[in-house]
Amino acid sequence: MTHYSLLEFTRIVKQTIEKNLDPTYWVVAEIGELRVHPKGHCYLELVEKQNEQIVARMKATIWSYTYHELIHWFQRITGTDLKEGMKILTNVEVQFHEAYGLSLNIHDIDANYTLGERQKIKKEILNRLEQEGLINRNKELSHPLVPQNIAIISSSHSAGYEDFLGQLKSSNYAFHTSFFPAEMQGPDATKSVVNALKTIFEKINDYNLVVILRGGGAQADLDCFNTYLMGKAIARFPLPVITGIGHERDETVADIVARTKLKTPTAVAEFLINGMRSFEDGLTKNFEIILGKAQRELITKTNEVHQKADKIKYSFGQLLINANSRTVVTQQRVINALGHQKKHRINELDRFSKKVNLSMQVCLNKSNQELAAMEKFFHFSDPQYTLQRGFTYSTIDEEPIYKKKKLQIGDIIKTLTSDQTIKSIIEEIN
Amino acid sequence: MAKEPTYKEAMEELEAITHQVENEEPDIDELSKLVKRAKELIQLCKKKLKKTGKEIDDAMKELED
Repeated sequence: MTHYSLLEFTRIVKQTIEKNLDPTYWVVAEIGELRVHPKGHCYLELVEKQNEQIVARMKATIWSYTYHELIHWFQRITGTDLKEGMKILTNVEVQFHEAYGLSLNIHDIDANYTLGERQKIKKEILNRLEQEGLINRNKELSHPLVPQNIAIISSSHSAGYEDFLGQLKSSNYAFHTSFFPAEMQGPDATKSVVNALKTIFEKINDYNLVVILRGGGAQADLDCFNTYLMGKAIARFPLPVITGIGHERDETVADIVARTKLKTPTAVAEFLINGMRSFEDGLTKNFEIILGKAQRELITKTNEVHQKADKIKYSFGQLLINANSRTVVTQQRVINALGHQKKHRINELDRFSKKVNLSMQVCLNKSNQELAAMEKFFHFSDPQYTLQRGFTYSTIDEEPIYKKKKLQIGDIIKTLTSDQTIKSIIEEIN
Repeated sequence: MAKEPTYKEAMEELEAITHQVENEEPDIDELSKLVKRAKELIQLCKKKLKKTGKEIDDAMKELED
């Protein structure tokens, strides 16, 4: 049994490979890992997966002079860099080095294959969104009449975002913008944008629409806008979404499902300003129509008011005249009535006073008569009156004779006449 | 001096004197006194009546004006 040193053995392997293999092969593989050395060489790991399990793996190298030329074309055709997860069709030469083992030297990469592959993936995503009824969901939303409250998703250092804001500001329309920063490229971009949409959704009533902006500049990496998750998130969003992700090539999934797709942030700003302007024009037009109507109405109403005022004035005049004449009549009637009343009262008073006078006179007369009777009575009652008529008044011991029971001879009688007092002695009693 | 009696008081006194004269047979001196009093009273009443009459006339004259 022959013994080989390892070097001898590896040389045998190398010779066998060189002898049996073609100079180059076209191989389809996925880029598992990729790094570019500072000197310009590109080191890759190519893999093939089945159900996410790596079933084949090989190292590969693109030497700097090849890489430099190759990547230029690749970017021009696909619009993207080589990157991990990308499927490529590559022309490789198998190399075996005694010290470093087996590796592939990449001579060429078919950019069109990758392009096709990417379009295939994109188509699959679009098909899926269509099957799920999502693809036109955002498109069915109508644009707000006044696009005033705008949620902006962009990267914080993006020049496109700054330009966009400047443009809105110089329009002098009152745009209210809220900024939701997100990564707009790289492996985490999809998740970042979707999260920003979720944040906006929490305050959905504060906004009229969502704008996704990405500043132009260097060759774009649009992969994050071509994912199913991004497409779904935009399509299902309940506010209209406008994309302005700045690229010249095919539209991305995000562009397709968005309510409105515009090429650049500048175009988006223009679109929003036009929206405002057409609303303002509409307002102005309506205002003019209203103003015209109002003026006509004002004139009509003014005339009506004048007419009514005249009518009222006339009616009032009539009323005043009527009222005046009525007043005069009433006044006369009152005066008459008062005169009548006065006369009546005076008559009444007159009658009454006469009556009083009469009764007083009657009373007075009665008193006079009474008094006269009394006077007469006392005139006749006066003893002097009787004596003057010749009668005398005789007493014995101060007692009237007619009252004296027993008269005796010799009693002294005092007799009173009208002008004399006589004393006499009883001589005889019969 | 006694207060001057009112007409009513005077009349009442006169009635009383009349009653006395008619029913009580006063002696002549008494009678003289009563009559004298009666005449005074009658005089007083006459004066009052005359005054009243004049007052009524004046009042009526005033009313008529």
